[in-house]
Amino acid sequence: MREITYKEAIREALREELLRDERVFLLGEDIGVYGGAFGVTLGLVEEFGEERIKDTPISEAAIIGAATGAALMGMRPVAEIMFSDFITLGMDQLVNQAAKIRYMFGGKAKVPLVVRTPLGSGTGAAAQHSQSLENWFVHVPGLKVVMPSNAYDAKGLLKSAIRDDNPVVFFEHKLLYNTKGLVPEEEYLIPLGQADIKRQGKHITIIATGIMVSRSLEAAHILSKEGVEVEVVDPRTLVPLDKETIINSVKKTGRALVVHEGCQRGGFGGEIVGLLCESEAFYYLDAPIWRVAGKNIPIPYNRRLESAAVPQVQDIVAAVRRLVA
Amino acid sequence: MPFVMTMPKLGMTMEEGTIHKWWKNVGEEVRQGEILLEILTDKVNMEVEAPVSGILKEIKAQEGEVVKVEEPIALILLPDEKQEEAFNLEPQKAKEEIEPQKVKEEKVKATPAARYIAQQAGIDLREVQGSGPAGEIRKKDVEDFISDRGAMEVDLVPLTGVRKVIADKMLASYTSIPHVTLVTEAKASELVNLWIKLKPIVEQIASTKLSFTSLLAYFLIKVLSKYPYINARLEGDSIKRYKEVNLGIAVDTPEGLLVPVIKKADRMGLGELAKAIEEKVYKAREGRLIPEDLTGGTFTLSNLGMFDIDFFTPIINKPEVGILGVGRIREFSGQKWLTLSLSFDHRALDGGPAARFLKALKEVLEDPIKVII
Repeated sequence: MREITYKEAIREALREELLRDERVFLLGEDIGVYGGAFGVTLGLVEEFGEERIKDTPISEAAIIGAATGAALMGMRPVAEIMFSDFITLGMDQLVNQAAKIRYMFGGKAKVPLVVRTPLGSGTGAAAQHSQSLENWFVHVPGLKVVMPSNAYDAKGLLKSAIRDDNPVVFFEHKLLYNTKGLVPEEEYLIPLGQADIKRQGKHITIIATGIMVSRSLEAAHILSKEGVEVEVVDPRTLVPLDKETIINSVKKTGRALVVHEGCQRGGFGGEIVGLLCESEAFYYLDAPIWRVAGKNIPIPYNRRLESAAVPQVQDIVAAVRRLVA
Repeated sequence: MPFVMTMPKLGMTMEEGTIHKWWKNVGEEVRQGEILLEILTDKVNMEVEAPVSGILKEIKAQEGEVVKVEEPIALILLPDEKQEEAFNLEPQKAKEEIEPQKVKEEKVKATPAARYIAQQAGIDLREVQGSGPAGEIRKKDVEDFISDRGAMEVDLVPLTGVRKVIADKMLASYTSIPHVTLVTEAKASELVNLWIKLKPIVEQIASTKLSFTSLLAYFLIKVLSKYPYINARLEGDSIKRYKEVNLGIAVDTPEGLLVPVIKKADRMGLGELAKAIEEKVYKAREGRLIPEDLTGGTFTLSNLGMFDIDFFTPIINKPEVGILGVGRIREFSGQKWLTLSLSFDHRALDGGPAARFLKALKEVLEDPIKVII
C-alpha cells in the first residue's frame, strides 16, 4: 500500500467527493489559488474552477452562514475555517442555526454541512492560534464532531462526513498534516461513530483523541519494554461516540487513562470518565480513572512552555506507570 | 428530658455487664415490657425489657461494650417529648458534634473490581489486605485472598459472647494464679459398689438420677467442710475461708464451659444434692441459667472420667483457690482406681495443707463409710 500524508489524504477525500457529487463545493479563506493556509486544497481550484472552490472574504460568520444556507438549499458545502480558534466568529451560525434547524423544522430541513478546521498547539502560534476547542461542539446537540488521528482515518471519515446529512465539525491537527500513513488507492469509507483500537493490550486502556493517539502509541511502545501492555482506543468521532468499544476495552483491562490536548477542565476526558463510571465497566475498574490533558491555561508562545502546556509522551508514560503500579 | 436507661443489676454479685445485642435501632419505637437488648454477665445471656414506652433516642453503649451497673446505656424519648424534640433538633446536633467520636468502623478502601469479586465470592473486604498505592484493596488482593483461603479452609469464629467471657476468665486465672496440681490415685471399688447400690434407692426416694459426679460431689463436700483453707476465695488482699460449701460443677454445654454453683451444698442430703446438680446441669445445657447460678462458688469439681481421660490439670475458677479434677475409673491389680488431680492457688495455701486435704478426700473415697465418722 502506498504512503501519503494526512494533508494529501484529506485533499484526496475532497477531490473524490467533488468528482462524485456535483452538489459538493468548498468555501473558505485563501483556499483557491493559495491552496489554503496549510495547503490542503492546493490544486483543486485548477481542477474544479472558482465556482466550486470559492475564496471568501475574511468573515467566519459569512463562511458558515453561507454554507448553512447552501446546505439548506440542497448543496453539500465543505467550509474551511483557517484556524479553529476563529470559529468563535461563526459560532452563532454554527451553534444557533446549523445545529438547530433540522430539529426545529421537525426533520423537514436538513443541513449537510462540513466545517473543516485545524486545531492544536505545537507550531509556536501562541494562544489565539493553538487551541483545542473540540469539546465545545461535543456539548452542542445537533452537531457531529470528528477528530481523525492519521491519514487513513482522515480520508475515510471526511468522505463519510461530506455524505452525512447533518452538520459535522471536522477537526484536523496541524502537526499531523505532514505525517505519513498507509492509505489504499481504492475508495473506502469509515462510518461516523466507530472507534478504532489502534493497539491491543491487556493492562490498561488509553482513550486518546487527535494527535494524542500517536503520542499514546509511542508511550505504549516504551511501556511494552517494561512488560506493560497498553491498549490504545481512538474514538475517531467524539459525536456520535462509540461507547461500546471503549467500555468493552476497559472491562478487559480494568484500568483507564484518557488523554487529550484540550484543557482538562471541562474537556472531553470528563465525558469519558463519566461514561465509564456509569457503565458496566465500573465494576471492572481496578484503579481510579485518570486524565492526562492540557493545562488549564492559554497556550504560551514560548516553545518550552507550549510543550509543557499539553501532554507529551513522557507524561503519558508516567501516568500509566502509576496506574498499573 | 428523655428517660435514662441504665445497666440493670441482674444479680446480687453483678457489678458490670456486657452489651450483647441491641434488639432495636435508634429511632425505633419501643414498648414497655418489650425486649430491648441482651446483656451478658458471667457467661449468661439475659434479655432486658424496655422499662418505659417511647422512642429509642440514643444508644450509649454499643454491642460488646462493658458497662458498670447503674451506668447509662440508652436514652428513651417519652411519648410527650416527641413533639418537643422536633423543635430542639438544632442544638441537639451541635452537642453531638462536640462529643468525642467513638471509634467508628472504618470504611474499606477498595477498587470497584475488587468489590465486585469480593461480593461474588462472599468475602468480607475487611479481612483482605490491600496492596494498592493508597493502601486500597485491588482485584489481585481479593484473588490472592480467595486462593489462600482455598488452600486452608478456615472457619472464623469471632471471640464474642460466652466464648469471650471464658477466654478472658481463663487467661486471667492462668496468668495471675500460681497453679500447683497434685495428683493421686484412689481405690474406687467400694465407691463404685456403693454407687450401684444407691442409684435405685435415690431414684425411688428422691425421684432423681444419681450420677457418679453427684456421688463424688457428696463426699467432696463432706471433706471440704472440714478443710476451710481450701474451701475459700482469694479476693483482693484477703483469703476468705468458708465453712459453708458452695460447690461449682463444671458442665460441658453447646455454648462452652459453664460452672453452675450449688449453694449451701453442705446442708444437703444425697438425694437433694443429686437433684440440685441434675437441675443445674440441665439448665446449663439449655442456656437457662441466670447470673446468680454462676457466682459465689467456694470450690469447683470437674469430672472428665466419662470421656476416658486418665487425669488432667484443671484451671482454677478464680477467685476460688482450689479445683478438683476427676479422671476415669481404671481396673488393675484386682482393684478399681480413680485419679484425682487437685489444682490450688499457691498464694492462698501451700503444698502440705493441700496434700493433706487431698489425702483426706482419697481416704473417704476409698472407704466411704468413714464419712459417717
